[in-house]
Amino acid sequence: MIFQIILPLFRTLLPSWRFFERLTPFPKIYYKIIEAKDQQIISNEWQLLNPNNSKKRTIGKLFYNPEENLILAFWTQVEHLLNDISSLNSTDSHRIYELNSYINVLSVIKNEVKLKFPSCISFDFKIEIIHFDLSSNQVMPQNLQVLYSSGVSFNES
Amino acid sequence: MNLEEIVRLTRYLLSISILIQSFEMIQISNKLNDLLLLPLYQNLKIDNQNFWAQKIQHFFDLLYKKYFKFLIYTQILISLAFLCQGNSVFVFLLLLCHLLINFRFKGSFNGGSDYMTSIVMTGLFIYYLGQSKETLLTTQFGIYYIGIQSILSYFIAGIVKLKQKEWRNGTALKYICMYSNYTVPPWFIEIIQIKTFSCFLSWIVILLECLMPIVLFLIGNSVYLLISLFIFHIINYFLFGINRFVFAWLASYPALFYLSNRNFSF
Repeated sequence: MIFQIILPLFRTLLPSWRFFERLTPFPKIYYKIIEAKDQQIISNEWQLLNPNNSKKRTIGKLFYNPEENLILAFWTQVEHLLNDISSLNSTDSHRIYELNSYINVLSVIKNEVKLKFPSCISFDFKIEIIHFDLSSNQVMPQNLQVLYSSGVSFNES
Repeated sequence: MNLEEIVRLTRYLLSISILIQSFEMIQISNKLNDLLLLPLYQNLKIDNQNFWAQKIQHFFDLLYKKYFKFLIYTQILISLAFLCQGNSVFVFLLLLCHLLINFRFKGSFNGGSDYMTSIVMTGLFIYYLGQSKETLLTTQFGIYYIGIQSILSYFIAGIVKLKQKEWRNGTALKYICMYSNYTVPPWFIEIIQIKTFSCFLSWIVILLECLMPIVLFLIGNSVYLLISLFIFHIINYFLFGINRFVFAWLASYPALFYLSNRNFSF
């Protein structure tokens, strides 16, 4: 138990350097607003969550780039969440919503939705994974829904 | 350059890299109350923990919820001290701070750059340990360790790409630019879809990474190669936003330079 908790502390001491060993599937997050003070923003369409700062990369940001590094950390958390979900055994599967990685990912999604739609009261979100069919050289990705969470409310603590 | 000069330059570059990482982390930690609040060292709260597991958990909870900023400021102070004076105690404390900060994010905040920073710190720690015992073999081993890990970081990454058909024909690079969650400039996404261009660029990356150790040892004077690698990382920053990689790898280049100028007799 103690070993399990402590082990990741030493992770960076043992690098594998196998960057992009496989073309791993990329997670994408979509949301749609189901309740809002402003009725016009309620939609049945899923919208892609795209938390980028969309500011130009400058020489200055080469030395100080916290916003973009936080976004990169968020996508790493999404990957942790997907790994955590796949490693949950069947008796614990109902505990997805208690996972620290789930709570963290949700906090960023809530923040992004609130920034874009301040009058939003509640929304649904889903995570999809883009797979590539490399054997047939298909350019079009296939979507697979891996997590769907409905009725996330801003009134919740 | 002799060993002492190599170590001094590595020490400066490492300290600058840590200072950049720390100042970024202070800004990031201001947002951690709202975003990514929970540390990831444990997935789920487990009810039936033993006594020591509970104590350890309590320690880390306290560290990350109350004293995380204090930890980062401590890292800044130690890196400033290390910039002025190189010794094994400072570099050991830096490594400890670095591991603790990364542990909050399940072992690594930023992937490869955290790995390389740990490697450079470990190599310098071995060097200073050897220096205090006046063992040339140990001091050299510390710098060799950094140099060899730096070579492996390029070589292994190159070999795994070379083995894959989708990297050799440019498809992998195109898919990464189009579908990954890096924010790639739209103009680059447009031109990477030209098959000849994506294939050409993939092969440049593969050759640079795979041939790097051979060129390093054959040519001997590796300054031009190191400049090329530095430019490669700068381009990666402008395309993918990974600025920390530039400075993390830069800190390993003096060791690469030292390694390339050795006369090895096999």
